[in-house]
Amino acid sequence: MKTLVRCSVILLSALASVSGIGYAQEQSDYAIVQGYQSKYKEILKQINQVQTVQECADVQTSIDDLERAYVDHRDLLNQSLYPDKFDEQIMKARVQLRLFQEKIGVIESQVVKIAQLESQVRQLSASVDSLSTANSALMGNVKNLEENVKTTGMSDKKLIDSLMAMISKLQNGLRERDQMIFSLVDSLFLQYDKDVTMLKDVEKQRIVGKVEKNGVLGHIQKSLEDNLAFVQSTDLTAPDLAKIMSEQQRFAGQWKGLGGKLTHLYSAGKQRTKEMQNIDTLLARWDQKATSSFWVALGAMFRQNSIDLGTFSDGNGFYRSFTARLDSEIQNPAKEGNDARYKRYTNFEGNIWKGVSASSWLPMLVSQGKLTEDQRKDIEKKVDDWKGTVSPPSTTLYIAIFLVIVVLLAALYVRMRKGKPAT
Amino acid sequence: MNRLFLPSALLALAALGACSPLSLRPADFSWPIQVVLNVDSKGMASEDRYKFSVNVKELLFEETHDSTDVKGVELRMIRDARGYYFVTGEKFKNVYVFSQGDGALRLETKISVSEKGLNNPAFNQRAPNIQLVSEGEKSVMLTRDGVQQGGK
Repeated sequence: MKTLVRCSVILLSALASVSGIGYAQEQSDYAIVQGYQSKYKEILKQINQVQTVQECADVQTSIDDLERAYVDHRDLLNQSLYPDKFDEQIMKARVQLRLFQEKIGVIESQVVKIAQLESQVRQLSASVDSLSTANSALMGNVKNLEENVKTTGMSDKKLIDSLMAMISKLQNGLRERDQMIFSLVDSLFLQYDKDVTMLKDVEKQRIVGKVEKNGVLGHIQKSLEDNLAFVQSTDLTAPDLAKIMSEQQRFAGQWKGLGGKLTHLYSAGKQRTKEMQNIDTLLARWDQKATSSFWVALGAMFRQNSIDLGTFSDGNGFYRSFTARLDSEIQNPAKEGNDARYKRYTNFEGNIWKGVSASSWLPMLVSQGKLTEDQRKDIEKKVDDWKGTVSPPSTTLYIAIFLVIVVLLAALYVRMRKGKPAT
Repeated sequence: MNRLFLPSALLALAALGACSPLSLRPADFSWPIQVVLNVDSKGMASEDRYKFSVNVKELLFEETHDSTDVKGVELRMIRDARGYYFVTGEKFKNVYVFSQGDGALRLETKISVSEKGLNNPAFNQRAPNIQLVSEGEKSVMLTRDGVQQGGK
């Protein structure tokens, strides 16, 4: 059945791609040539208007983009364009731009550097778009898989593994997009190579234009909405949530830097404060949701290892509950036997303290200011003390039991021998 | 009599050879892409790159039965490798194939291509055929004689 489904999917994909090719072939050559000509004319117009190094770089990038976009239609364009063919037109545009650069005294190496950054911006913008689409699809798949897991009642290990793998993939995808957005912003601001406060009004307007053209604020909002939806709709473990909280903090730090620049830029012209306020709100909601989910997940992780800490909703609450429990384990007021206590400690050590969790959540709580360094040291000392109060079940006891059994068996054997009548 | 037959026959053959029209082959008259012709109020459509003009009133009457209000009509035209001109337009139900005559374009074939009328039609050069694409219709390959493949 599975093979049948897989075959159907492959067949449908193949049909879809074939029909896609068919559609592509049905494009009008005339429309392609007209589209190219209109963009080419626009570039020629821009060349005549360049005045700054950034404008020269913009036009250079536009020429590169135009050539790249139409390279697959080179033959058609070379046949159709008259009197200059495609290759000649592109060359002419480059030469004309160089002449204008010389005329206004712009150095070619500066143009090349800025054009490279601008090209990066455009590529990153396209990558952010495609990653957003991929992440939306992944989010849908995670939801479907979660429904399936709920239906099967956590009994299908393969399904749960698939879900965990998909969640991890989605988490990576979200993180990658966040990083890409800020790389895009960096490439955009690097083109100006000076502090925003030192920029002229015309330069500020150009950056604002680029920020809007590349949909920077829109990308940031979308990214935050997706991150928030991910935390709200997915059952995540404490270590996963710890990573998300770090990601949130990193994002907030980067937004703080960018937000300051944008406030300065927009004050010179168009107002975008509403969008920026919305970003601040989304960031705060993401932080709040990730943090509250983290405390719940951390309590659940302890409970799964037979350590009930009760409920807590902040670092101090966690510290109080955890240290109280550690004191109780150390003092052992109920005089519980060593074996049960030893087993509980080893579970704690393996699954919570020295597993992947210890390397992520405890230091992270300190770095985020949710626990103080003293609180951390105190917790670590108490865990050491707890370890000191338990010990593996004694081997001498086992040896003694073994010896008693041997002696008993020997006595039984001797008695049986004596009881036997002489022959 | 017999002695005169052979030289006479050779002479006649040589004369025939001298009279047969000179033809230059192969020739390729294809345009790489279609041109869009704007019709003026007198029904004239002209093209800059290939430098020709033609009156299309009769064509418009043939297609729409109206040749009074022709200003602003846009026609699509392309020429295939054999030199035939293919012409159609917005809302046209047919493609008209013309050959070049003595100061005129002469209709060779009228190909029915759409029952509702073409929506944003365009010709593509797909030698040896001409491809007709139109929004909402399956593309068809055309020759002077009609629809070649793909069906309509």
